[in-house]
Amino acid sequence: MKTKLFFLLSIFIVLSCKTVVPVDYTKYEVEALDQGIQGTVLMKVYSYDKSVKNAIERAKMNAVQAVLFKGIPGSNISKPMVKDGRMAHEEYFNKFFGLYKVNKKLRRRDRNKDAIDFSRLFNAPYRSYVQVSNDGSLAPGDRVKVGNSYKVGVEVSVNHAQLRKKLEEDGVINGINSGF
Amino acid sequence: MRKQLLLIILLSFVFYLSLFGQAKQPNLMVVPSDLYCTKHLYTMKFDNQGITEVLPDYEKALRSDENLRQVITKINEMIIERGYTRDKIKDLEATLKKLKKNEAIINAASSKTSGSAVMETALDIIKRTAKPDIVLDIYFSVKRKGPRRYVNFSLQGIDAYNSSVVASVSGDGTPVIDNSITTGVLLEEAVLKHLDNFMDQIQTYFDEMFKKGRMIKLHVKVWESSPVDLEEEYDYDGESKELNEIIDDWFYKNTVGGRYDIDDSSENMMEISARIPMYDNKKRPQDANRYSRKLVKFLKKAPFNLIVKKIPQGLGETWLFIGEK
Repeated sequence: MKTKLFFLLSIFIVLSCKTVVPVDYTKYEVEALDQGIQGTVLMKVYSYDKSVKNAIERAKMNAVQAVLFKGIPGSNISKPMVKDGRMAHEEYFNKFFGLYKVNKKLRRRDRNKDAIDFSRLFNAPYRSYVQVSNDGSLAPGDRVKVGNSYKVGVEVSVNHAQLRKKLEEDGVINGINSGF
Repeated sequence: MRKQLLLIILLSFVFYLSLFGQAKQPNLMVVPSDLYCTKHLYTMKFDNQGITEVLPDYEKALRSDENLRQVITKINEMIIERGYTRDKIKDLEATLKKLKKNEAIINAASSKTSGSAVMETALDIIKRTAKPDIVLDIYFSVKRKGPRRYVNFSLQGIDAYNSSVVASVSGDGTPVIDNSITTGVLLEEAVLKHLDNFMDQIQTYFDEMFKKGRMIKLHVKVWESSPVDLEEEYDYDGESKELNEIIDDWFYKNTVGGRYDIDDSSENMMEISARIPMYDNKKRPQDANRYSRKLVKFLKKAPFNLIVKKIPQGLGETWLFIGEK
């Protein structure tokens, strides 16, 4: 009995000592694809998350973030749309990306401050400007298990013309007629 | 009673706001580059005092080149879609037609503005009459790499007054092997690929204009009959200074952050590039013409008492002639 108890205790100790390497969910890569239709930019986004479904959702968010704050080199939107950066309009973009709705429990469970429950973001404004261009189906090479998370490559189209219009109307960026 | 008073105050405020002027938006015009015209033989020859000069013939280009027309139309369409004021985009073809119709008026205007028999190029005439503030200079060519075709495209935004490049994009399109894809489609794709980045640079230029002031060019010249030249000395501000030094000081005091350059200077002329405030003291939008009135008034006063003729050229350039009207 004593030996059994000792054995179970050792297993428990070993399991609890397993280091959970947190995935850097903020990391993403963007690659410009061929010209999309007028007013859109087509790109391939590689994003990371705990599940494939979440990684696809995160890729959509990352695509909009790339257009807004980074620019897509080699595309028709090579410079960031928001010149003064995200921090200058932090509250606005937190609402725009629905990040005020983040699930604190999920963040604690995943031990990752950037974990997001995407099922709670269906009404987030950014979702109106982005869509996955190949119905979310992934090529075998575009879905890779990295540690305890997935790296997923998705083709995404962002309607930058409408996005720009929205930000101009909300006074976040200057329009071409601003001041005149 | 109180509510009525509040309403009156509110309405007066709205009325005041509507009176508050808006800065003048620059005119844009898309024009084929000299290289494009020369390469496709859309040129005309002029005898300029014994020297034969080859100049672009825009009319011929638009009459015979459907790709060019398509590119110009597409660029105009996309700029309007981006939200640019429709009236501020000058169409080259419409301008040329208007010029032809009003040839007599143009000749009269020409002698008034140039005042001499100096020949003007087609672009000079367009700049003088249609007054585009930014000329969008395009060049494109269809190239081949084996069986593949692609378009080489470049677009430059040039400030019509100081000839500085305000925006520029260039690059090759995606090569295609399919012969059913017309050159027009390839060109449209090239415009789509580059125009957003181009307009982004134009936007940065406008933002900078609001921050650092509008860039203008002022030419100060002295008539032959003038009793004084720019080296004439005056007692001003407690010291004896030459007129060109006094004008130099005036620009230092009247430009945004003292941003100005004397590009060229002699006893008979000065060329000044200056960053001027977008609005004057009365909150009215300001261009080179309105700004130069202040200098004219300054020179009219004692101790100078000068007569100055002012000839404005579009939003960003004015010529001042000292000596007589």
